[in-house]
Amino acid sequence: MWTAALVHSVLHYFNITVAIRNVCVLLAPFFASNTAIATYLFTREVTDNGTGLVAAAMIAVAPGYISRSVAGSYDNEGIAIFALIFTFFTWVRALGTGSLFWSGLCSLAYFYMVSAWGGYIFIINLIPLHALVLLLSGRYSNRLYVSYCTFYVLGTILSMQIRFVGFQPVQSSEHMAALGVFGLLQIYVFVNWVRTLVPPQSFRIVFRTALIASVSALTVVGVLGTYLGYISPWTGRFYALLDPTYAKDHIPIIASVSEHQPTTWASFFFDLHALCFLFPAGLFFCFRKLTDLNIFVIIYGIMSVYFAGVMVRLMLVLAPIACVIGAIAISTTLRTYMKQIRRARPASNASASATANLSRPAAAKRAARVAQNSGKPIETTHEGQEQVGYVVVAGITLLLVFYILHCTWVTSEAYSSPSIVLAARGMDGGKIIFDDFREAYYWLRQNTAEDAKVMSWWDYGYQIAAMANRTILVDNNTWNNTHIAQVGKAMSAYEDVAYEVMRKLDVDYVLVLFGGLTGYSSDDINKFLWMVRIGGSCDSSIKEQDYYSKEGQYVVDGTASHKMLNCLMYKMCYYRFGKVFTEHGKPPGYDRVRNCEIGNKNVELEHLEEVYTTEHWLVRIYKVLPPMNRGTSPASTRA
Amino acid sequence: MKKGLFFLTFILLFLYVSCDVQISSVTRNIDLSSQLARHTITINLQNSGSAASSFDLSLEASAAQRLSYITATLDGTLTNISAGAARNSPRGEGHVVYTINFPRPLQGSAALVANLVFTHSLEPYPATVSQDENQFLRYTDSVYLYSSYKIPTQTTTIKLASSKVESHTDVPPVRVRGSSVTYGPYTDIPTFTSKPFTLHFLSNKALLTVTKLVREIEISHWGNVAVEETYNLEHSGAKLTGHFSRYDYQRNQQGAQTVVRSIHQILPLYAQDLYYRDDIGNISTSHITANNRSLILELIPRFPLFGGWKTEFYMGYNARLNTALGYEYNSGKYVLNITVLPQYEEELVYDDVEVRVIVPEGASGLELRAPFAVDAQNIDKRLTYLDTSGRPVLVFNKRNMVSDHVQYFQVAYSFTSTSVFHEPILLIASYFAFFLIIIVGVRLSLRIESN
Repeated sequence: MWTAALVHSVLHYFNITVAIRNVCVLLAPFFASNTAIATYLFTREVTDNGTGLVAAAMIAVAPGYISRSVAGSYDNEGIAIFALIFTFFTWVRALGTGSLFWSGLCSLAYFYMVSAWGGYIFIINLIPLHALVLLLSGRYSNRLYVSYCTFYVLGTILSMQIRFVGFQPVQSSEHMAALGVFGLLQIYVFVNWVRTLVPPQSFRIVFRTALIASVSALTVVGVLGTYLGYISPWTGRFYALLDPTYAKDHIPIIASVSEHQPTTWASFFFDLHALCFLFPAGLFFCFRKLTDLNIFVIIYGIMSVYFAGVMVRLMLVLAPIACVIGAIAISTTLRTYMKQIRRARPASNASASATANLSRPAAAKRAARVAQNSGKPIETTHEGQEQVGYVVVAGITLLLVFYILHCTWVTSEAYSSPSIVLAARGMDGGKIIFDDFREAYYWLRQNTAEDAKVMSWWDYGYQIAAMANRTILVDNNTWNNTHIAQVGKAMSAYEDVAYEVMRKLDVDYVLVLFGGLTGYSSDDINKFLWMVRIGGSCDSSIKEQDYYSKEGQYVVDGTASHKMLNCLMYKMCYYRFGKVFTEHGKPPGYDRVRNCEIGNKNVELEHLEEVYTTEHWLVRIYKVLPPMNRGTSPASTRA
Repeated sequence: MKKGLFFLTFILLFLYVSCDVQISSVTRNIDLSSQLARHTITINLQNSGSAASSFDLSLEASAAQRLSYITATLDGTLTNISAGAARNSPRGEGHVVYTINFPRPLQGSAALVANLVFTHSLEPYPATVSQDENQFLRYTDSVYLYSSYKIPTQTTTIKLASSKVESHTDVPPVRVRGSSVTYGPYTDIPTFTSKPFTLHFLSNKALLTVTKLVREIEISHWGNVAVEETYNLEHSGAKLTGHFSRYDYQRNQQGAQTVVRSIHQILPLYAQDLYYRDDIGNISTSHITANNRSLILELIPRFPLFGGWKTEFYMGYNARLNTALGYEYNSGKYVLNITVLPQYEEELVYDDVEVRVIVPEGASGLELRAPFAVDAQNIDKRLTYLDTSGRPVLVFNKRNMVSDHVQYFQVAYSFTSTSVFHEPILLIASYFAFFLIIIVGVRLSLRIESN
């Protein structure tokens, strides 16, 4: 966020008066281009120049990444992926050169990542894992020691400067792996040093004693730390990552977000296309020629595939490495077969022109020389090898062409339209625009008191805060969900009870989304069960079962339960809807999302008043009335 | 001292009053069919003495505050009116005098027609209505023309927005016929007399007020004039009370009486690249139609404007430079010629208008030529794309404006034609410097040890 502010002030220093909003809108595409450069640098570091170019070209169009880097997607992730790849680039550079300078840069890049996104946890676990694997596979080198220790010490100190992180790097379990590997490296180096000093027999004794002592000391510290509360237990989100079914049972707030659902095969293909198939091939090529840096690519690839499988959102982390590994596959294959075509060509040229100066043996000699230069044994040329080469190259070209076509299509169809303005085709084929969200938000901004507090489901929290410029109860920050449970409780209760909750929460306006008139399916009635579940997770008196019909179905028609037909959410969505004709040949009050006639057509509101409903009824805003002066309502007698 | 001054004023006033110009009769027509009060005052003058050069039109202090626009013609010739001067009547009431200077000295009789436009004179009563209710307005004025001259006979006719008159003050003789109310004729009214009357009538006219309008005109000598207008629009009619029901609004389009669904701006045909936005982005509800004289831009707010509701938006367009800018050979200056206010099909009241004319960097000697007096005027500076010293901005403010103010004004300034190349040279120089640094940078070795 301060990146945008920085860009803005730098531009303004040069009298380039770009509005801050435009800076924010274009920040993500700008960082996406930086990501392409960082991917090129990263891949070049691991493999070679050509592969780097292919990887950069692939990340440039990969839908998995474009989904978060289109213009207007002003999110932490937009910057974070650049920071992530750049950190990895500096890490492999540091590891490759063993240079303090690059390790320092690596920790700075890591610091930037920490300040940008909570996903920095991925880095602080992946790099230690890489170091550990190198250590275990006997690839320890002084370069590793220098780069890892510098990175860990500087990176940790820097990350602790971020308020949100604070002392977590030395206390929380998520960061313990990095600390552990750091310690292990010290022990390993120490042991090596001792080995040079003492004779082999006594060394074994020293080694065993040291091992047992350090392991038991670590265990004691760990147990004590956890027990005394210095080391925090793993958070729910982390469990959700390790066990995909955990969230569904324990944390409804995480399960309710579509981004947190396990990924389907279709969406893998949708976001990665050809990379799905190139990924294993690329991994194979990596394994065939293992280097220190290759191992990093392999670990990163495998880890991110797992995480992307657990949560759709983490497809974002997978996309860059899928591009890198895919690029390795493509460039290795192409190189192999292009070589064959090239090798075959001089021979065929020579045979075609008999009058040429180049005689047959000379051509063969040259081919052999080419082969020798490339460091491979001279292969005997088979009949038709050139043709095979052509076929493979053509196949890969075709694959890449389809990849480009697919990416363009996905980007234009799925990721380019703003979600706040909906468009549909009318009966006459003309375009109908549903601009209801902004209509409602702007109404709130212009025609309510400046200190008005708006209650809505948390999905729209940030939108209301930014566009309506009003205080909201809950927003898209779902780190703590007890207040969200309060809103869920109010929405799912009878009006009297809900009124008490709203009075306690000092609510002035309530905003609901209703798609029954237009057929917009992600409205509040369809999300309502999550409100019940999340409300129920903090207040056991709310039972999901009460909202189902006798047949155990979630419906809104006449067979729905009494609680469902009279809860606040139902009332607010269907207030006066019972008289509206929505579809030809259907009774009034016909819900076009649920495809049924609603069950409660005479909704009466006692403590709320409709103050605004947008043109297509997508957003409805109610005002919470002050308590009655003298009356029999429970709220007023209590007050 | 103060007392002496007071006395002097009194004497002067007396001298004016004892001048030979006399009123023989007054006919007032007050048009209340829009949200403005348009007064057409026909004063038949009689001069029996020496040639008179001016006539004093007096307004009570409260009325003078609401006065937006004033013109007067003497026998069909436009007159020059000097700015209002505050005076005190013999009875000590404060009032404002507008001196109408005759184009030629008056001898004998003549007809003086004064047109006055007052804003915020209609008060919604009751102040709040529900969604389907009619709006009633109240208008209060004096049945007599407030005057420093004796009036032998006068009549006042008021045209209302509808024929439904809830109540009227009875000052006989008074006649209500359809949508018009006539007070008078009254005879022999002494000076500085007023007798209030109040009319209460149905009017579903929306009282649309632009509480703040900033009109920005930016000139680029590369061939473009950009106009941008920022509006704070408010429906100042009877406030919507209770709830707003979309169901009723959609079912009964006629029911919602004073609601404003859209306003129509009339733009010149050459306006291009129109936009209509607000703080949260493009407003998707707007239509444009063209006839052979102008473009009509229908600006539909995001939500219908009920009484008491507000909205903010900005819109703008570009035009070719030669449509608004000319060159004045005798002074050697460029002259921008454009209207002070935009033109609307609807009657709007502008409480506060700020016009900003931004001329290119390097221009100097800015000079405003306005068709009427402005309240404040100063020179500002704006730093934007490719500026080093900033572009001069001529700013002027005026309060309380109406559609009668849609008139052309001019801004003249000196500008040397070579200044146009300031920006490309700046760009070329900075790119050159950038590449130079790179060229030197990559050839420079900063290594401590030699390879």
